[in-house]
Amino acid sequence: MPSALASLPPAQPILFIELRFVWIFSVIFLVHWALRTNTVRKVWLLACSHAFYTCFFIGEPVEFFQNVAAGRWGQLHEGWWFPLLLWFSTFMDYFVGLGIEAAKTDRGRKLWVTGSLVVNLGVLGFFKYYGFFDENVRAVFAWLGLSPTWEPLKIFLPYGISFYTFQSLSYSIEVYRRHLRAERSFLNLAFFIAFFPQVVAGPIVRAMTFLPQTLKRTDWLRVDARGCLVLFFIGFVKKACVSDNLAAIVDAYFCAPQDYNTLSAWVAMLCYAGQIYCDFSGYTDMALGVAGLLGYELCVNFNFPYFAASITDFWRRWHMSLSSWLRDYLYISLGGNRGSKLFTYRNLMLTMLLGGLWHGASWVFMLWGGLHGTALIFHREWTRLASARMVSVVKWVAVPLTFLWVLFAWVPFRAGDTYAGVVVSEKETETLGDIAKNSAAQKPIRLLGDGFYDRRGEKLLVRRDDVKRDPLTGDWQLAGQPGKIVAQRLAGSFSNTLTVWKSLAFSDGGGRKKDVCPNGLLILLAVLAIVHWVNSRSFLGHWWRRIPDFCFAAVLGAGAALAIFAKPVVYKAFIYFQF
Amino acid sequence: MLSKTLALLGNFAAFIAAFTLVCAGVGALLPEQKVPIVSTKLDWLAEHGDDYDTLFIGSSRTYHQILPEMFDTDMAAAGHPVRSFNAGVDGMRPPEDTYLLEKILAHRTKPVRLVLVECNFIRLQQRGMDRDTLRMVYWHDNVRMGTLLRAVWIGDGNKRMLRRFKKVLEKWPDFPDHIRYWMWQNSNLGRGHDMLAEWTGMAPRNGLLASDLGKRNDGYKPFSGTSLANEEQIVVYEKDIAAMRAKLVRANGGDPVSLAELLVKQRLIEKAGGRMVLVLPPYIGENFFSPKQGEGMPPLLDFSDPEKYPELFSNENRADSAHTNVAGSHIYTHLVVRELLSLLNAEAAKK
Repeated sequence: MPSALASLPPAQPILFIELRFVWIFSVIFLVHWALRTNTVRKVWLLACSHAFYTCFFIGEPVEFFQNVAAGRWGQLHEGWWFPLLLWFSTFMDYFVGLGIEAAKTDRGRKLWVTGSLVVNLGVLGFFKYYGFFDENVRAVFAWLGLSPTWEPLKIFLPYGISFYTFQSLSYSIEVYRRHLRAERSFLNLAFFIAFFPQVVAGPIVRAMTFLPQTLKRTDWLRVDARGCLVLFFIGFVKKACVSDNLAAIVDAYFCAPQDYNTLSAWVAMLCYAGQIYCDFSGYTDMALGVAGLLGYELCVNFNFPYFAASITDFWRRWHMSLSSWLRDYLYISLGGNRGSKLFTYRNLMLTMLLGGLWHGASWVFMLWGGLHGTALIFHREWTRLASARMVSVVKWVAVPLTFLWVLFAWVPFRAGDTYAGVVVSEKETETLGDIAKNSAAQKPIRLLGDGFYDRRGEKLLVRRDDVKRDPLTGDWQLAGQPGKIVAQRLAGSFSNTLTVWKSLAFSDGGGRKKDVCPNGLLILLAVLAIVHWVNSRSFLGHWWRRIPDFCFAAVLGAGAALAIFAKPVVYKAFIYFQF
Repeated sequence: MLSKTLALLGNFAAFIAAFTLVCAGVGALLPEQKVPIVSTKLDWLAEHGDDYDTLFIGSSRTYHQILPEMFDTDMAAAGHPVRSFNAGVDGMRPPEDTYLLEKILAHRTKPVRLVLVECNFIRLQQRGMDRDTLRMVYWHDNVRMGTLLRAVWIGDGNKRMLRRFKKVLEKWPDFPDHIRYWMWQNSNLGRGHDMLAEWTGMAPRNGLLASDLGKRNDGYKPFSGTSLANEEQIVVYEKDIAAMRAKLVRANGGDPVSLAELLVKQRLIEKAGGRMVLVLPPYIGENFFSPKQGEGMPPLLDFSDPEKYPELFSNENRADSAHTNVAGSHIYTHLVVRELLSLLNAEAAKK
């Protein structure tokens, strides 16, 4: 089977912050607006969306087709056929939608929607949770003293599957609930599911809000070009300049949290809170900007979540498209609050646990969901029991208290993805080729995020194509040389979580402790927080709307120059690409 | 419609102008980037450059094969006292060497006397280990980019357009990387991040190693390889020698852009009060060329002939097919002095 022969590591996604995306988008944008009819425009965007998504898996398209034509299956990237899953999901939900509408009885409608749920969630479950399931079954076997006889399957998660599965499911469910008519046009539905700005990392757009947009011809005169460009620019700054810079500090801390003191734990967690917010909301801003420039509106996904006054409020502001999806399709389907208090709390907890599991197939994500579920239940009880006076007193500390809880809950979310690196070389600076050649002595290196560094802290000259992540163990290996481990995933994420929690709770636990950063970084974090707060209050207003066009262009040009100056050379993939 | 298009173009021009101005402004305020080996040598020469009157510029064939201490001793014994510094860097070739030379000479207050430069031609391919590193980026200024562009376009100087296009297409696959490096350099990409990393002391940064200057701080560092280790290597090496004999480096007169680049270096050196001497190291391969003498071309010391310098090519003096070992480097340095002296003496006799 060709896919089994593919030996190259999975290809790298195209990120909005890359220069090549600017070129790609420029072509898409110019052709889109040059086309006359709405249908042709949609066909163009659908083709581009699938081509864009396909490139995430096949790498260089010319090289891919040359290899396919020559039958060089071994030269293909693993998972090159994953884009077919998107087509599969689209076809299935198209026919499910028609089937639901055509069904004469409620039972028939239910059968169709159940089929959609089973198949969609089955595919998602297989790719996302097989490894987790297998790992746990093996652990149980080991505990029982048995050894499993089956070989583990090497499966990795197709980009965006969690997002587009939920998106297409929302369509089937809405048709089932009679909130929406089944879409007769396959083009419209396929375009809705695959639209490239949101296919990989959301926002999870609802069919009810997007499908009506596909019926109208997009009109350039209605496009708020300035607003979209500013949104894209802000997203770029958030991701490339803030998130990726903070990532270096966070990654260094999480490589060995036991080596750092309490202040470091706090700084690292504050940095992580900033990193994940700027990473994800930055992606969303860019997606909104890109979609807007093509004449389509996506839903807002973030509303200054760290200024939430309660955990309930937090979930109205953080990843709004997911939280509303979970509320509408999971929490309400479970019964919502239409029952006893205990029944409601059970539903809340189940929703949050499954929400945690949606993020990743790991117990730490369940723990994260559980912490948020607990806080939501606590907040409900508090709202019910607390007197007006108590509420007015606590109001003053509500925002910091909520933020603190969110911060504590981020610990397991981050601690589950920690690596320790080893490099196999005697030389001061090495390439992976050198590492492979000089396998005599193992020397420790620091592995910071997606980059590989030698003992001097110098970036190793490693291309992502040269290394391969083992989907089972999470270790990084030299491509084509199984067993030649470059960096190992740290086992026991729970122990890492506990270490960080203990540190945060001012319990250093003795030993020699390092400081993660000088005071300068605290000032920088304070500045970032102030900028964020000022932005949340809209103190600066929309001054950029009032200046002449050429001034706006010049300001944008100057801003782009400064953003490129501030961004690291090596970019990191968006955190939510892994979900 | 026309006015709208013009307005759009005007806005785009404003964007580009502001972008370029801010990049240039920020770039002017930033310190030099620290590149391993290169910056170690540059920093040393910025402080002690005037202590030396003779420089060696080139690749690993210079860095690991010419011993300044031995060179100085031999020259002094022959009545030409000099103090030399080896500014060779692994994998360095034009136009990077011209960039480095410019920087070195800019720091000097005293005139330079002699600069011995390896006669490399411009090649667009990069070493795998240098890909996407500061080492590739730091020298991609506008002047060097212009040189590379000419190298792609002019190629071997053939006047037939069709052949020239063929050559352009041959070289083109390597060119986009240079455009990227040029953009990277001129847009100050990542410099703010590096400064933040330095400031916080957390994220990794490029560290310079004093050991890159060598034990005597004269820029020479012995080649890490020892000798041709086994029969197999010797067989390969001898095969290479035979191939080289069939295709002599001296037969390659160089392309017009590489020749012009030599003259740029010569002008720089003459402006700094010195004279340039070209060197063809004992090498098996096609990295080098032998420019025709005359027409203002600097004199050439050619060590690429295994018949003339068998000791430089004998198995026991080689680390690999591209480099001599330490013993070979000693012989090579003595030979460089011998040939240089005979050149100087011949010139003196002519006068």
